[in-house]
Amino acid sequence: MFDAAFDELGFFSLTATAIFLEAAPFLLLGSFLAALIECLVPPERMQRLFPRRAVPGVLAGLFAGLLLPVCECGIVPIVRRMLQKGVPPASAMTYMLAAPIINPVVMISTYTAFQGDWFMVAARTAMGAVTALGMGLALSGLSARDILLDPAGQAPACGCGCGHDHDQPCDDAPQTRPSAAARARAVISHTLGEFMDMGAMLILGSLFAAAFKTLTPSTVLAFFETDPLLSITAMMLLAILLSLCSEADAFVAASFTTFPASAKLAFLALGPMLDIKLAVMFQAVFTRRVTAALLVVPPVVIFALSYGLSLFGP
Amino acid sequence: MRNMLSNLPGRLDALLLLGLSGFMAFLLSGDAYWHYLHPRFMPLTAACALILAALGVYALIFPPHPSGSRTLAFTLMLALAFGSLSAANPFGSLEGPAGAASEAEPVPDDETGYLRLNTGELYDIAENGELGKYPAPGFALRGFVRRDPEFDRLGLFGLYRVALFCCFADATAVGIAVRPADGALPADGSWVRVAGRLVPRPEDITLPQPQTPGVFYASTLPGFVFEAKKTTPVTPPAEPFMFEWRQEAPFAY
Repeated sequence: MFDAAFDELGFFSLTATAIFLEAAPFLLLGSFLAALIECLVPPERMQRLFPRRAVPGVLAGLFAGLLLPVCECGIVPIVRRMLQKGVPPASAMTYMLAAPIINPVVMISTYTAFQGDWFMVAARTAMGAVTALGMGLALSGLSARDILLDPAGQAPACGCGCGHDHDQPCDDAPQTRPSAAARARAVISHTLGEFMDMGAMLILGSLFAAAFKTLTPSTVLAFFETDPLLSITAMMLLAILLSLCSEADAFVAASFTTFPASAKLAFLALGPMLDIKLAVMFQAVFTRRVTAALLVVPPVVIFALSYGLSLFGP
Repeated sequence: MRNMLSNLPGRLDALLLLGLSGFMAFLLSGDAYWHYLHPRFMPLTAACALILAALGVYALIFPPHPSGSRTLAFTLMLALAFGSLSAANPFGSLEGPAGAASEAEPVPDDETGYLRLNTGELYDIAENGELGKYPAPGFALRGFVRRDPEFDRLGLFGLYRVALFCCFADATAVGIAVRPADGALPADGSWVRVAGRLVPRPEDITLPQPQTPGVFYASTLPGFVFEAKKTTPVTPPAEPFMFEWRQEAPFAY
């Protein structure tokens, strides 16, 4: 009994560590990009990049996801800074959901995992895009204050890299422009803070995912594989609980050979938008209402799309 | 003195970052990296280790604002990371270089002509209906043995390799059901190499899908049984996980 428990603990720690090790570089990158946005990009410049109106805004967010792919581990700190800098929620939230799935690396890995099946690539991308657009439009009427948990406590910096307190006016007259060293120090401080804060959330999510993987027998899946409704539901739950990166999940989904394509697509579309790691990060960054929306709406939309596919698709 | 004490929690965070950086460096310098991540991530881990070390040193000098929950999370992660170094072994799949087989293991005379490939590659060939492309005598592949009461009843054993795509969390076991020529079933968890051919599964039998501890999902090729003319005990390769499986020859094996 103790041997088995020791083995389980070993696998648990191995899995949790592996998840953290894989995600850490991307979280570091996301924290660094967020710090750059925070310290070096003035709000006015940031706001000029994205349209104010809802429909052009979500399309811009989708396009940004294609151009600036960031994995789900690093996206939340970036989007938080974008919102604080005045980027419209329609664009920022669409980008957050779209970037981890509508990116070339994920498309290539999906294509490879399913051995050249373009339908799986296209369907995954389309399901992700539709869900991201829907959420972006749904949240377009909100402000950053409505979305972020603590927008005032971490008010956006002026973007000149001076690192001064937020209640002091920003004076970027040439004679008071901060030195490169001061700007670098501001970026490093923010990167450090962001990584530590989001890293703690990542660790918590890794622990939950590792616990699920270690303690749940895979034989339970056999109960769900034949019925379309059950198989889609089971695969969506699995996507949330396994917390795989969007590069690897296609290979895992492909290995579930006894599940229908619609269920595998539900797994592939939902995972990059919602898993345990992300759920923990969402609740640390967004208001309760927005967190609830992010936890409920994507699964509902993807379930509907997947079920529709099971009825009418190939 | 008061300043030093008040900065202690922040400096503890710095030490934790340095500890994580040190763990990554340890993995990179040793032979355990592949237990956790696909080897292609080594440059990324190296860069991350360097940056975390730099951030750790920076935090020692300029301690961040303390947060108890954050410090606890990182402390737990560091403890789990070092604790994971002695993790259990999913059926010989984590055995390291000590006693590991050379990748260029010689081909015995009675296995000449058998195409060497891994379980994932054979799985794909069978599923894609491409067995006809590979003529007699057949295939040779290696992996760890998985016994199961249903397999035993059918006179079969499962032969698996753990496939790892990115990190251990996404590892799945991929394998085939094997019928040994002499009927002797090897021990559970042992490593063997089999040489033979793939035949359609008799319709009256259903192949089990036995679990592999440490791995969430095991996939057994459903429509076929491997008729092994020869079963040879082997030592696991230096990196027993499958990190690569190819669509055509030369296969990764």
